[in-house]
Amino acid sequence: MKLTRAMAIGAMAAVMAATGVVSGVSAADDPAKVIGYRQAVMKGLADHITAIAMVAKGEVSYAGHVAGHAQSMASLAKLIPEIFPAGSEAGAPSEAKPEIWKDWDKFAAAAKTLEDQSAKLAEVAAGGDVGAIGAQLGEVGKACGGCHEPFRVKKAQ
Amino acid sequence: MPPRGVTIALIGASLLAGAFLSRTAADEPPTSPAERGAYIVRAAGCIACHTDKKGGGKELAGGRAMVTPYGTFYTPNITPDPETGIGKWSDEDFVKALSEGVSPAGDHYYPAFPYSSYARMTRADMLDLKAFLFAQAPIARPNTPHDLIFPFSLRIANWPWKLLFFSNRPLDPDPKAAPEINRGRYLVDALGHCGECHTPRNILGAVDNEDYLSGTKSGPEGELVPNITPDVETGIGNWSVKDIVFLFRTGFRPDGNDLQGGMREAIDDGLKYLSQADLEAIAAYLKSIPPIHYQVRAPRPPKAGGDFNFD
Ligand code: HEC
Ligand code: HEC
Ligand code: HEC
Repeated sequence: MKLTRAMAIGAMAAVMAATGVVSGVSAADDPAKVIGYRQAVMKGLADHITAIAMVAKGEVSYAGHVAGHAQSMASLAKLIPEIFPAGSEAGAPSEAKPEIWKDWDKFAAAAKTLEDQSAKLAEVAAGGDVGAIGAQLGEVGKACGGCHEPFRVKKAQ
Repeated sequence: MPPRGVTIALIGASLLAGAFLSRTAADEPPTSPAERGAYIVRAAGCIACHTDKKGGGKELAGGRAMVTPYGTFYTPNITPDPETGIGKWSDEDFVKALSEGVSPAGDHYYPAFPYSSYARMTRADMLDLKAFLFAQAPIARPNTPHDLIFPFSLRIANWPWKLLFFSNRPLDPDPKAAPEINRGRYLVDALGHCGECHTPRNILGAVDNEDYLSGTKSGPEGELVPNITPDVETGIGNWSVKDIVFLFRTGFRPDGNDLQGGMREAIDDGLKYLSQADLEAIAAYLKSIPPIHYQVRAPRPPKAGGDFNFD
C-alpha cells in the first residue's frame, strides 16, 4: 500500500492527539490562514446544527440525515485541539481568547465533551425517540456553550 | 425488528408532525397544586437565581452571587427549612413577598428579586408555587448577607424606588387579543420576567417600558442582551415561531450559533421544560409586540477566511 501524504499527516496527527502533543503553527502555515481555517470548521459545526434545526422544525423531511450530521459534528469536534495551535493567537480578526493556551487541558476537555455529546446525538437519532433527540440536542448546545463561554470573546456573535 | 428504512420513515413522520419539538412531560396536565407549582417554577425561572450552581450548592438553597452596579447580592435560601429557609412562612407571607416585595418582617426587598414581574402572577399560581417549594427537601444553609455600596446598602433605599417604579397591578388580559397572545404575555411578563434582562433600565435601575424588550448593552452581569422585538433588521422579525420554539428547546439560534450566559440558564432551568402550546404562545406574543429598531450587537468584523474567499 502506498503511503500518501494525507495518510502520513493523518497518522502523525493521530499520534500527536494520542500523546497529547500540542503542535505549534508549522512554518508553512500563516497564522491568519489557521484562524480562517478554524473559523470555517466552527462554521461547519453551526451549519450542521442549522440543518438539523430545519429537520426538527419540519421545514424539510430529511429525518434520516440527523444521525449523519451528528457523526460529522463528532468528527469536526475531534479536530478542535489541532486547529488552535500555539502561535495562532493573533494575525487575523479572531474571537479566540488567550485563556485557551493558558488553560489548555480544560479547552481540550471541552472539545472532547462536544465529541462525546455529538456521538451520543448520532446514537439517539438512530434510535428514533424524538423527545430524546430534542433533549440531546440541548446537551450538544451546552457543549458548544461550555467552550464558548470561557474561551471565545463574546462581542459580535 | 422493522427494517432500517421503516424506522427512519417513522422518525420522519413524527418529526414532520412537529413531535421532535413538542414531546415533553409538560404536555400531561398536572393535577396536584405541587405539580402545577413545579411547572410554574420552571416558567418563572426561580431555580437559576436561587441555586449556587458554581459553588456546588443545592437546588433552591440560595447563595448565588449576583454582581450588579450596586454591589453583590446573594440570593436567599427558599427551601422549606424552618431556620434558614422559608419553612415558617404562611401563604400570606409568601403572596406578600411576591406581590408587594415585602418580607414577613415588613422589610422592602431589593428589585434584584424580580417581584415587579411576579407581582402580576395570579394568586392561584403563587399558591401552587408555594405548594411546590414546600414539597421540596428542606436544606439548612444560612443566608449570605448582601455586599452593597452605600446608599443601596440601606434597605430603606428601596422604599422611594418602589414608590416611583413599582406597580402590582395584575395583567388584565387584552379582550381584543387571541387567548394565545394573552397567555404568551402572561408567560413573558408575569412568569418569565424576560424584560428584567431584555428591556433597558433607566438611571435608577428600573425597567424602562418605552423600550420594551428592545435589548440592552448593559444587561445583568454586563451581558449584551439582544433585541427580541419583531424588528426585521435589529430584532427577531425574521424568525418564525418554529425558530423561536427551537431556541427555547435547545439553546440554538436558527444560524446554528449557541446561546450562553443568562439565556442559557433560563432555557436549561426553565423554558425547555414548558409545553409546546406555551412555547408557541410566547413566540406568538413576541411576534405581536411593536417592533423597535435598536442595534445591540455591533455588526461582525470581516473574517480572516472570508465567507467567499477561495484564494
Ligand atoms: C473546545 C472549544 C469549542 C467548542 C466545543 C465549540 N467551539 Fe465554536 N468557537 C470556539 C472558539 C475559540 C471560537 C473563536 C475562533 C476564532 O475566532 O479564532 C469559536 C467560534 C465559533 C463560531 C464563529 C466562527 C466564525 O465565523 O468566526 C461559530 C459559528 C461556532 N464557534 C460554532 C460552534 C458550534 C455550533 C459549536 C457546537 C456544536 C461549537 N462552536 C463548539 C471554540 C469552541
Ligand atoms: C433574578 C434573580 C431572581 C429570580 C429569578 C428569583 N429570585 Fe427570589 N430573590 C432574589 C434576590 C436577590 C432576593 C433577595 C432580595 C432582598 O434581599 O431584598 C430574593 C428573595 C426571595 C424571597 C425572600 C426570601 C427571604 O428569606 O426573605 C423569596 C420567597 C423568593 N425570592 C422567591 C422566589 C421565587 C418563588 C422565584 C420564582 C418565581 C424567585 N424568587 C425568582 C433573586 C431572584
Ligand atoms: C437572565 C437574563 C435573561 C432572561 C431572564 C431572559 N433572557 Fe433572553 N437572552 C438573554 C441574553 C444574555 C441573550 C443573548 C445570549 C447570547 O447571545 O448568547 C438572550 C437571547 C434571547 C433570544 C435570542 C435572540 C437573538 O437575537 O439571538 C431570545 C429569542 C430570547 N432571549 C427570548 C427570551 C424570552 C422570551 C425570555 C423570557 C421567557 C427571556 N429571553 C429571558 C438574557 C435573558
